[in-house]
Amino acid sequence: MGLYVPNPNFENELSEDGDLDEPLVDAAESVKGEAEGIVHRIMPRTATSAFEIQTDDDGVFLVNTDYGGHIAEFGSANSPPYAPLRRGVMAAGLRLEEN
Amino acid sequence: MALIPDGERLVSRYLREHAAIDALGARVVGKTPDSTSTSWVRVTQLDAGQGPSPSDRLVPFYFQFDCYAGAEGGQPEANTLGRTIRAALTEMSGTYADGTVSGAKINGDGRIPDGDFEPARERRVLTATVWAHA
Repeated sequence: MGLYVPNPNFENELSEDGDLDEPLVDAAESVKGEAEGIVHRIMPRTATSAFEIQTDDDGVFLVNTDYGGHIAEFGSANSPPYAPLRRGVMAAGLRLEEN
Repeated sequence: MALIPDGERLVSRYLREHAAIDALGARVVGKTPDSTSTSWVRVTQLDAGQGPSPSDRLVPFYFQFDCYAGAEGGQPEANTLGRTIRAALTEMSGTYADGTVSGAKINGDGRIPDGDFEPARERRVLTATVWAHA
């Protein structure tokens, strides 16, 4: 009988092969949909969605592209933190980790 | 029918009555105060989803704490206030008038100065989960 030893690099190897991109984009789409329902847009950059899914060698990113996107997320003295990205992650049923 | 605790009131009252925060002279508020000359902490509940129990008893409240320096305090004052709030939250377990807290976890702790002021006002942004029930 063999002993199963989990591969500690499993996720990294999947990511390097690009096999994680599709499920991550699917997850980002879910969060984007939730965030669009939450967001209070500040200084919009476009007339369409504030959010873009961007993919590069470092991973898959959901970005608030509005000029005031950082204020919508973290708030300021004149605006409460609407936190569309963080609340979008939770509303999509995913686990939010901040760092 | 059982209501969940008023999370913002529970946490804000705890912080207001905490000796270490009182010693700093910081105000604990729900929105930006009229006077911004001295330090303050703005408490915002971002989420309070249902916990693992189907009874919706123990609720994970997700908060953002904006810890602002006063007009003259700068980065040292914001940092001290942020670290004090952080320490107070981690020892929050207990029973209070507004509910019982079983624990708290710090999720984020960043320095994000606020550009709505000129010059930008120093601010530490803490996020934390506080588990509480009525």
